[in-house]
Amino acid sequence: MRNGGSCVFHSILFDRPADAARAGRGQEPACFHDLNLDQVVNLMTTGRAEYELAQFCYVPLHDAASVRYRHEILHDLGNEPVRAAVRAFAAGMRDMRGQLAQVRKLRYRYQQERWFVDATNTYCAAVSALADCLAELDIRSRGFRELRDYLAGYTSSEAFTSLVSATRTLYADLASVTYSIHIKGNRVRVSDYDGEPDYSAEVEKTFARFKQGAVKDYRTGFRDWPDMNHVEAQILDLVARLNPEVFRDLDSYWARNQDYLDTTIASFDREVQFYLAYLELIGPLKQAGLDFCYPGVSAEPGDISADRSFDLALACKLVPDKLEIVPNDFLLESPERILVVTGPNNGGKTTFARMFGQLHYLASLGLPVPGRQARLLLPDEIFTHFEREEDITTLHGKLEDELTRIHQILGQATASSVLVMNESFTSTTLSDALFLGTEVIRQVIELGLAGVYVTFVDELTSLSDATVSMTSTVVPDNPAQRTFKVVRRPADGLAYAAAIAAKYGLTFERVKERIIP
Amino acid sequence: MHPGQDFELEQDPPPWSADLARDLELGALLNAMAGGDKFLFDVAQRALLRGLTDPAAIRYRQDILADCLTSPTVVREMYNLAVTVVEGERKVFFGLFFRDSPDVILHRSVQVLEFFTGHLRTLRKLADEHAGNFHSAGVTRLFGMLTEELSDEYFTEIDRHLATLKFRRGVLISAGLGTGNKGIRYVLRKPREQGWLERLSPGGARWLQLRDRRP
Repeated sequence: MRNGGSCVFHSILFDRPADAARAGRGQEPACFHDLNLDQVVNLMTTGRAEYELAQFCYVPLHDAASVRYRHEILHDLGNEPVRAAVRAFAAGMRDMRGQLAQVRKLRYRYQQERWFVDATNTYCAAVSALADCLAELDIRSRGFRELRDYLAGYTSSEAFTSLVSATRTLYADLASVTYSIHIKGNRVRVSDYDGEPDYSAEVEKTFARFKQGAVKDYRTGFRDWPDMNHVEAQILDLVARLNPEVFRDLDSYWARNQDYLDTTIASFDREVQFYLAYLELIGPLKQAGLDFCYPGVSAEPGDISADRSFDLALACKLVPDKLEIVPNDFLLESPERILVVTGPNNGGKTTFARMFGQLHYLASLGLPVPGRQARLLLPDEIFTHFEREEDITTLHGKLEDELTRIHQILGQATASSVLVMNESFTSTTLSDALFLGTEVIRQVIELGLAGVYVTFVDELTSLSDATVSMTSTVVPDNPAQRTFKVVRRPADGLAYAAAIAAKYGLTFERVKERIIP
Repeated sequence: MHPGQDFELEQDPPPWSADLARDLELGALLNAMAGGDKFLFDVAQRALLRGLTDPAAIRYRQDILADCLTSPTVVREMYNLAVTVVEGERKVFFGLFFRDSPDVILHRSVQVLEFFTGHLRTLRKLADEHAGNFHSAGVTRLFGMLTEELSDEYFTEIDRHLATLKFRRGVLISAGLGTGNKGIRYVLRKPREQGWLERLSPGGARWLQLRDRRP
């Protein structure tokens, strides 16, 4: 390896082989649906089904170094020439897969073998081009540097160079084959082409003196398909018998090179799409003026914050329609651990809660996150507790189901977990909701979880110095109009009520004015 | 019609033609000249409406007209020959469509050429036989061209092609290997004179024959 690099390239996604091993076995995490991350992954993987990228989205990283490994790579990919080189490589690999698919579709061996040569040729060209580009481009990330060294070694290896030269020779030999077909009725004879003159040219020459100006073209178009009919196939067999050396080489090329595809390179082709897919997803959002940043991450519980962040799934929906996205900020400084969000309905509380969960998940995928800057926890797990429709098949009440789920969550969660609770315990009385909420928050605080608790119970906002109160806001002159801004502010349910009362002229003063004669 | 240029059959008549034709009662004259032949009517009209101003050009036409008056039969025969050929081509090609297979198109084309060649021969013969009776520069030049361009050797060459183009001995095509080893660069080839049978006879000739798999 060049540069005396001590590390050998394994994967553009995982610096730790243990994480790579998890990919492929992953299930969609339980929080995906609640956080609308399933929508994000759907959008991200559209048009890339062949790469099965969702698998990579199911494997969050728990190590800050692994996240930095990805950040560095994404920085390199932000460099257009690097991205162009990777895209060209991917296009080559895709062509190659198309050619291999053609091999599988065809029935005649010499046809299959020729398409196979095309596939390996495409592969060699794509790999060589990528190796050449990376050798010249300014790349900084460990991942790409190691890949560059790997490719330099691979493309100068005996196996690869001999594959390239064997392919070149075979093409030249096949191109040199010319043959004649003599067709008379149903009899077809094939022989070597022996320099017989072009008869069409002779006929044209004889009649040229009658040609005055433009003439109608009576020639018939020749339709061409990848496959052959049985006559063409038999002719090809005869051509092969007339040129035994060339076709023997073709046979042995096919037999020897079935395993030509390097698994590390094939993995890179697939894995690097994870980055490209995400960059393509957020590209239009950045153009629309939304911020993305590489968050500071830590697996250890600490301060958590984000500026001008937003719900990525919602942004993906609104930006194409040119609708406005309202960014929000949050900050949890020790000893604060929990954001308790209250305020009017449809004011952006749920969106805010989702954003909090999404940020942590996206950060643990090593991706840039919505926001101007962010410091986030690399959670060991993200738990969500969202209000659900009652499920009649369980024969349990809604409250009972909710209690069962929160019990399970609290049983699994650690100080490094993130919890997003949205409108929990709404199916009970205010006093029960207050009691249950208080108990849950007390335990959450005890565990040291970081999280968001969206509720209609104002009292929950001031249970301890670990909770921070945030409220969704309305336009003061028009309480029906939401700002979708969620701000750090003591909960004051009355403020909202007062705003509505004022709007309709029902404040104490206004009412009194009207009563007094 | 002109010593040094083609007669413009496609050119529009001058703008004053309609008035002139009415004033001079040209209609009667043209009808008499055409004798019911629309093509002749057209030619006569165009020629009459574009009079000549150069005495040499007028003399050129007068000489030809003198020739025609001396040997009207030969000239009529030549004109009838042309009419037969034009109508004959229409008949052979009637019903030929783009959809037709190359086979059919080739077959009809050979037929048309055979038909043309027959009449070209007759035209040549007329020129050969009656050249002595024509003295005008125009007709002499026409006959000279016919004798020179439609030589016996040329007719032999055409006959040979028309016979070959029936491909009674089969079609010889050369090709190379393209994508998926399918044939590319198909070119029609002229078999060697000694013929296939000789080349394929024992003693080293290499050819392989396809099995006939007709049901």
